[in-house]
Amino acid sequence: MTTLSTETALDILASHGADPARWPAEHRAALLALAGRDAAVAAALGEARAVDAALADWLARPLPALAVDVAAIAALPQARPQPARWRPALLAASVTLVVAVGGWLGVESWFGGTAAPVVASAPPPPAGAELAEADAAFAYVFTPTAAEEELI
Amino acid sequence: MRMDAPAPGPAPGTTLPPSLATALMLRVADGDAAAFTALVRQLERPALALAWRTLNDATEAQDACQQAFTRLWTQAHRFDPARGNAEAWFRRILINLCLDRRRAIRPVQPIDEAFDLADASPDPESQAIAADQQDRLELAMAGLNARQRAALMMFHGEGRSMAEIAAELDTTAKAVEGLLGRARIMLRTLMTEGTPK
Repeated sequence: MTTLSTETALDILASHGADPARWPAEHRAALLALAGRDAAVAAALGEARAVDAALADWLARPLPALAVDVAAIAALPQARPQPARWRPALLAASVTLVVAVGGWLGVESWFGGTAAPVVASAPPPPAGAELAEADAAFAYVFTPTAAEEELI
Repeated sequence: MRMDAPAPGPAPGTTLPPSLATALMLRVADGDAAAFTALVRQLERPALALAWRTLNDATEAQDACQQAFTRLWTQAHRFDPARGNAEAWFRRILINLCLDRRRAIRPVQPIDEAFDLADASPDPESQAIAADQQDRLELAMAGLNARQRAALMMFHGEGRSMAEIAAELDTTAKAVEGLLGRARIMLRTLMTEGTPK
């Protein structure tokens, strides 16, 4: 049997009521034992019984004559799942991409597929003063301001 | 401190066969009106009882149930058996409708005036005492909020665990313990003192 503090016992009685069957199983025996020797727990158990009795009266009241109108509901149309709106757009984009790539490959084949690969030709490196001037211009253009630094 | 036994349910890694309500619900999603009628007959009484005790008003309870079953029919395609059984899904719809509905209702009679009326019973003494007790109980329950009444109904009336109630009220088991504790204290106060705190 686990030990149980008075505070924990009072918490259990406050929320679960006086029926030991509804108490947490691991505290059940300890709470019953504590109620036998702790006046505060015994008093709380008595109060919980009174509230349980009131709740039992409340719950015992017969349900009024109520009913659901099934026919009225079944006469309503049922909603159907809507297809996602992006699907047609995605299909159109896919077709466009296939046509574009296919077209490009087709154009290439017209030229025998022997076209020389395009090689990016770098400009000749500037020399001396021209190089320093180009670096300064690059730094001026691409050095971020203080506000831009914060953004970065 | 753990305050509640775990909710009954399948052990991790195991699956249970679908409940009758779930089997019917899958047919309802295909537009089967006969299955819908059978499903309503299965869920109707407990639903009306829960709504009536939560809302504390028979007409409101009937309206809430009608609305909940209407959603069950019209939005049947949204039901996903992988996410839970049909009964639990329906109960969540119903409880949310009840709590939303209750927020929009103003109390018809201030609780203090109601207690004055209860004291003026013309019955003989013994009957008057009993009637007074009943009236006090009724007015005390009216003094609780709908969420408190729903939790009391589920715990004491339906025998549900804290974890099950927490799932239906979309909160934690610990919060349900607090909700029930406050409801019971308030009920006791209203029953003995006759005025809400």
